[in-house]
Amino acid sequence: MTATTSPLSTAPVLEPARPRAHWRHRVPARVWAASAVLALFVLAALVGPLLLPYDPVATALPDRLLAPGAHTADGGIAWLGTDQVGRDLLANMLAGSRISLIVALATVVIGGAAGLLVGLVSGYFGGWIDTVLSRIGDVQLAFPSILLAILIAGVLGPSVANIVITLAVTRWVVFARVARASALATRDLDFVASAQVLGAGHARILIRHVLPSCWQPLLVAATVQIGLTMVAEASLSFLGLGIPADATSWGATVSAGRDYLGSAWWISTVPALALAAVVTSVGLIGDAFRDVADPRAQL
Amino acid sequence: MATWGQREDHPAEHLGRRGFLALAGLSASSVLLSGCGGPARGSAPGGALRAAFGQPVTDLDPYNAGTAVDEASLIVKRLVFDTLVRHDGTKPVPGLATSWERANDTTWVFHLRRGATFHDGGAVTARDVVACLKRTQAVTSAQTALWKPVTSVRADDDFTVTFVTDKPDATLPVNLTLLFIVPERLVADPAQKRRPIGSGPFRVAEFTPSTKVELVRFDRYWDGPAPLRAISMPYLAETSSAVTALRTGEIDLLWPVPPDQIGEVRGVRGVDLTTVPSWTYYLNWFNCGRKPFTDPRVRRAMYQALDLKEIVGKLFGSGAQAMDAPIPSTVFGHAAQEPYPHDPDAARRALREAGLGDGFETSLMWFDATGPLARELAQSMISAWARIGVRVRPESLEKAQWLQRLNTLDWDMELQTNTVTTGDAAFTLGRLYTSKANRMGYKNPGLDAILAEAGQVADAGRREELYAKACRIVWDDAVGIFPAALVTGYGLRSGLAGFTPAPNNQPDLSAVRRR
Repeated sequence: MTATTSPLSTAPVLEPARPRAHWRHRVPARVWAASAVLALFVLAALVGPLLLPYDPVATALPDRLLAPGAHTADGGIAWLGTDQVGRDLLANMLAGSRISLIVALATVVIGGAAGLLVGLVSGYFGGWIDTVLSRIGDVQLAFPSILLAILIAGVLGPSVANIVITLAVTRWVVFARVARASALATRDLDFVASAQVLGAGHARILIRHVLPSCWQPLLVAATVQIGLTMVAEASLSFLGLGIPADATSWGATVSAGRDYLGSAWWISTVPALALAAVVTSVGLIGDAFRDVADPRAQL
Repeated sequence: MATWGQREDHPAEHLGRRGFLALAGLSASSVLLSGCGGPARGSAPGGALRAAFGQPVTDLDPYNAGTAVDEASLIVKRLVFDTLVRHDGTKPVPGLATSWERANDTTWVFHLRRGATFHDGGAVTARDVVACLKRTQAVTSAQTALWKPVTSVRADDDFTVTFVTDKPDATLPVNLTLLFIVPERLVADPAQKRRPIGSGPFRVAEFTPSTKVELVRFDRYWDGPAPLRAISMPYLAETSSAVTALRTGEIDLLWPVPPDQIGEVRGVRGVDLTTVPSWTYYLNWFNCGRKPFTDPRVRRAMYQALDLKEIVGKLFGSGAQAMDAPIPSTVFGHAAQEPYPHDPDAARRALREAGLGDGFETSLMWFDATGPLARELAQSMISAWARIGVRVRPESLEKAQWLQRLNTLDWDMELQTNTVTTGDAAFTLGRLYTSKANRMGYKNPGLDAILAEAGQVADAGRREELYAKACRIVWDDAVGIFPAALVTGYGLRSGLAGFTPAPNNQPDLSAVRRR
């Protein structure tokens, strides 16, 4: 992913800045590579399961624990090997990528929306509302988020929706803080004061004048959180508290394969590599986005 | 985690919802925390035997309800406590009692050994035995059914105990292998959970629940001091780290080695692998009190849908044997039955006759740590059932939740391992399948009568006959599916002698010595 020697990175240096190359100038090659990896995985999550259906119920015991590239009993080739009940790991990976990506996106959207609302209200109004909401957030941050997630997941039971709820509960504070900081900085600016003088209500000011300033920092926070959420989902599934037994996700597959690290390393390794690739890619893109979005980074 | 959980059915523990949630949360966090701690190293006194079993020890009080027949704690209890009677294979042999006789049909007299002392120096007397039996009767546990027939127990003198039963009870000596003797004044002492006092060959030096047990030799043991100075029993939650610890010599003994890991242990220099057919087996009960499993035709159809030969053979290899009765073939009272042939067409026909031509939806619950490849076995069976149109929802539960639902009969099907701890059918058939026990909603007065008689007669031939009948009824009525009896793999570092593999997973570690 960090292919710093790729021609893309040298291109802007060789070519003096032209207007068309301006944006490209600021996007390093590693970000291109990261975007390509991410796009590949998103595409795989979208169409992969259609091309290579994964049936979590069907088992094929004669094909169990086949190494990558081995032939299955029905003449096919298991490109990434098979797991301990003979299911194809490639199909498993594609199906798992769907759950992993859906959980990550849904969590960030839900947690982000909740955090945005709380952050806006507490930053804009200040006073006791701010004190109460901020202290609630502080209390939650003081508690290790994975422990909290384990507690909630243990109580709610395993299902995709419950994972999203669990992770959203542990993530909203981050978004709330970002939104609050933006709202706090914006509410004293002149154009907000002007709107107040013109008689605009709180709701209108919040939506039309304060909210737009929150988007950029929120998006940066969201890209970082997507990666962290995927890891958190994998951790929960690894602990058996994630997705139910009849679904699959990368974390669940890593977990299922850990007894086989000595004999069938591919079960855990393949989804772990995929997870590492996606999380790193998202992180790189988030980094680059912050550089672009933050005017101070351009100084 | 991927190890053997407690493989027993449990007494009804009535957890409230709050209590349950707290438990679930706690155990979940302990999963995380246990993942952080490495294997216990270097804390064992020099020359100690380091033995790792696949399940954690959570409590050492012999009268704690939740662990009354828990394998992991029984292994330690047999080192720390004495029993009146011991096992030699399936034969009862003298322990703290030197001899016993039947005074009449309902009266047993046991003569105690003189000179046996507890770890705190007190002598073992008949009064201690009486107090222990009364205590175990007072606690509702998985042992309760075993002690129900005993109506009175008295100490005739310091070394004679008399048991009176309501009906003739032939199983009393075998049951007494589960009655651990502690001093009378300590029977209900909470300190017994952590630092119990017994009269066994080892005493507890240190015990951290679910982490490790450190035992040191009791030099005044009546049968002479054990050859080893100490035994250290760490719990290694991760199968892969346990196997690595055995390979590198960090532990001396590991059991059971899971079937899929046997290849990693076999042929390793300095490690001997011994396998022994165990009294532990998988069972998949149907909730016979819940539709559609009230209909034996449906239960048999579920059996016929499975190609158990392939499932057991491919999954477990030499790690298990397909079963031909509701109990493993090495257990007293086993009688081979006609295996259900794999016939999906017949299964579909049977479902149609039962009015379920379109199949049906149901669920199967288990907890992963119940035994080796539990999840894989469940998935394979679910896959086979899907082919006859039965859609089974897999419910891989947390152990506390599984236990609670098992005991409240809140399930359709459940998969677990079970151990015939005493090696006698009475422990399993006689304890679990009566209408009164009501463990899986199956009620059959005919079977009740057979089991009641089998519990009363002393003649081994007659008992065998009766349990053969019981096997047949349970098998033909398909109260459950009995897929596999496990073969226990013991991985042992060379340099140790005196170790005998045990079919009930509870080997006698006190006889082990270094060469």
